[in-house]
Amino acid sequence: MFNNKLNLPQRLCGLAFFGLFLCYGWFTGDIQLDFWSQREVFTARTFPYLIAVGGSVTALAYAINPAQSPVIVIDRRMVTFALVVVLLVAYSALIDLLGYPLSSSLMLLAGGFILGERRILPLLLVGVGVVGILWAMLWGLGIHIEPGPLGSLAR
Amino acid sequence: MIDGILLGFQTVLTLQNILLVLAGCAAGTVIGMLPGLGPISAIALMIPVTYGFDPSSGMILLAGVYYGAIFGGSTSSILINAPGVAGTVATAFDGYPMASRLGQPGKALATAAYASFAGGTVAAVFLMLAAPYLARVSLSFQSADYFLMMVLGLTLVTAFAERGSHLKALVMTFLGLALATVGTDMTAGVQRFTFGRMDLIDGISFLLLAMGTFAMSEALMMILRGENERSVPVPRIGLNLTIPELRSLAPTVSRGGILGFLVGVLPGAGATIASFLSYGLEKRLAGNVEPAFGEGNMRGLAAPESANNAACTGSFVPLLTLGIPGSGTTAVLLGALIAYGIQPGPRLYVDQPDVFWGVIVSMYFGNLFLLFLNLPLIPWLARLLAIPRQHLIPLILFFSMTGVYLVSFNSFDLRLMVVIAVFAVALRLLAFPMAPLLLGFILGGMLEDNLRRALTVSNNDLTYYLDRPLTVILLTLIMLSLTGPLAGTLGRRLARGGSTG
Repeated sequence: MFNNKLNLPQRLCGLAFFGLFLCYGWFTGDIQLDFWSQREVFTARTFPYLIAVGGSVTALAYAINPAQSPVIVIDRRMVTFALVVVLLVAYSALIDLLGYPLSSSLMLLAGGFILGERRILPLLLVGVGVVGILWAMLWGLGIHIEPGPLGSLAR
Repeated sequence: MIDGILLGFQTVLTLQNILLVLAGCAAGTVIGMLPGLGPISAIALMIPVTYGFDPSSGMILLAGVYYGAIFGGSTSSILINAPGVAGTVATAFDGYPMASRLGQPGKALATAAYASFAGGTVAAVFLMLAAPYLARVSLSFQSADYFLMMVLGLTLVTAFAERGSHLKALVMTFLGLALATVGTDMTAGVQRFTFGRMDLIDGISFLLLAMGTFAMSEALMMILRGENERSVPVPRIGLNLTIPELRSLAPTVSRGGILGFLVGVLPGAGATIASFLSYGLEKRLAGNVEPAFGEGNMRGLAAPESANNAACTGSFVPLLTLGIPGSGTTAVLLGALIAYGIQPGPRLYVDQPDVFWGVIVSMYFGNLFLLFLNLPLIPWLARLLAIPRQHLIPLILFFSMTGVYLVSFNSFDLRLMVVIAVFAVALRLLAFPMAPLLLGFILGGMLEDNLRRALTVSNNDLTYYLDRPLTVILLTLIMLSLTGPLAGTLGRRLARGGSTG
């Protein structure tokens, strides 16, 4: 648990946003302009520069004068949260290899398991049933999602 | 005009056309509820079905699909905090807390259905009475006015922020604007902030950001709140609204309907701005109410719902009378009209009055049928929230990711979405609001285009516009909406500092 009178998390967050908008302004300078547009008043850089200035001023103002910070509790739920995030990253990384139906079923099965479901039947019902029905519905609407290389082998 | 309205009723009140409105509403509702498929996809999917009918019947079917899809999108916004289209983002602000935290999904869906019906009906009446005149008024809006109207929409972010959190809301708005600049600048034809990645050339999609910041982050927050470890409270599926509740909603939906229709008439403004403006206006008018706005207030749900439905009706004004599609959806409808061999424009209601008035009258019937169709479905839909959280959380995550994958078929988008969702969770833990981020993102592109156009038209001199009363009024409203809450916050801080120090 961290919270104090200095409102440190909020101030740090304000400073992080300030840094982010400064970086955004810095990278705005990298936007390529051709010879003719360099002479125009409004170029591809103008609006991002306006955002960078407005954003950094507002973020700095917030870092100086932050709102009251809410209390953040770190407990074992963070472990479950982290496991689910890892699962989502794995799902997005494996979807091309395993294909949509197989990877989605595995994601739902593993997700249910991580969140505490231990009964096989409900896990299969959600993991296989929902994906199957959705996939069939999408095929019915003419939206074809290929099963992927490994998904094709499984089929 | 009376002749026209009677002709419209005559066109719609045939068995075939009534069945088509009904089928359109049903199909639109089902497709709109599916992740990633909004009104544009729903209409595009149904266009081939309409080729067998005459143009007025085809348009009547598509109008029903449009309404149904918007209502279907609201359902997923309310039940799982997943706004599939920009027009239903504001619906989730109070709809989702009402359904989940207050345990009243049936009532929330019924409120949305009644508000949509009322807003749509108000707009349909306006459309019948004033369509040709309003088209001329909408043409008097210039780029500078559009730009200022969008800035007004952004400054109203203070309406979404809690007391004393206005700076936070502004920071999030700027972040949304910054994210909107990622991708190719279509006017200049140059890439911005893509860092050489092909995946970012088209920019970040709205759906990706909306699903990441709302649906996915909410599902992840459920884990942090330990909801998967508790048994699910039985949701109240009753959808009866009491007479005092209906009475309190009447002025809200009337205001939302009128505002939504007027904003919808303006090409390019559409349901999103209408729903945000209506929500902001209602929050300002309501003051301190219980439950507060953002925590499941019925007025906070009814206002954007009535406005977005009314704006859908309003967007038909420039389409039918000027041939200008005001939104992506009406652009698809314009394509359908042209495919039928009909050229929309000022002569449509002279040359083909049956199509013009048939579509307008079908709007009213569409609303009516949508209400009768959806009320019996609500108890079934509300039962979704009774699904144990250890299954509901993965399902929300899965449907959110599927929605994005269905649009791009690119796994990079899924990885980006996970990053955005984790970032959103961190910001939500620090009590940063997500709505201004999304609003900034939605309006960013339009804002830049209109500013660029306004500068080009005025030869780079924006003071040129100050002679126009409309511009001055909009500027004054912006100044008031920006300085009012900030001055209030500063005043309270100074008073607090004085009393403690």
